[in-house]
Amino acid sequence: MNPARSIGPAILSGDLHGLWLYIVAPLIGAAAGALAYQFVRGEDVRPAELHPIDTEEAA
Amino acid sequence: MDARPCLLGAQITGALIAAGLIRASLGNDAHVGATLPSGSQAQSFVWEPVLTFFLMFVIMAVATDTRAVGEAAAIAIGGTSVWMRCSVARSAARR
Repeated sequence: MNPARSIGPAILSGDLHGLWLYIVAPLIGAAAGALAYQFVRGEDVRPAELHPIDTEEAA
Repeated sequence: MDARPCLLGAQITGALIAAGLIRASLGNDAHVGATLPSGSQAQSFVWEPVLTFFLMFVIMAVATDTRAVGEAAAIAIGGTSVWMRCSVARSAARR
């Protein structure tokens, strides 16, 4: 479900034989899941907006 | 600025540090917690996208939809992750 979580231990253990699966499969699933929700929501696909933290307000 | 490369880098860096910590303290045991198919690769290739589908669906619903209660996102996403671990991971281990 999280490629990064699979990449870390795979590299450090030296066992890379199953890694491709845990990179490719989540990409397919995540793309399908995102498209499915956009279909249900009924809006065009667009990336999520990331808002930088307002440091002045936080301080 | 596009934050995506930073998010990607931070995730992988964190995973490498965590795996390095495990290997340094416990040795190269149990593949340092690496995700490996418990059945065949084909089985994992079927279930992995299914699980990620539900996870991404919930993330889109609670974290990107303006109608959703943003504060509930962590509970919904965490709950989805726990539910998938309990259902699919456990039934795979039971075989």
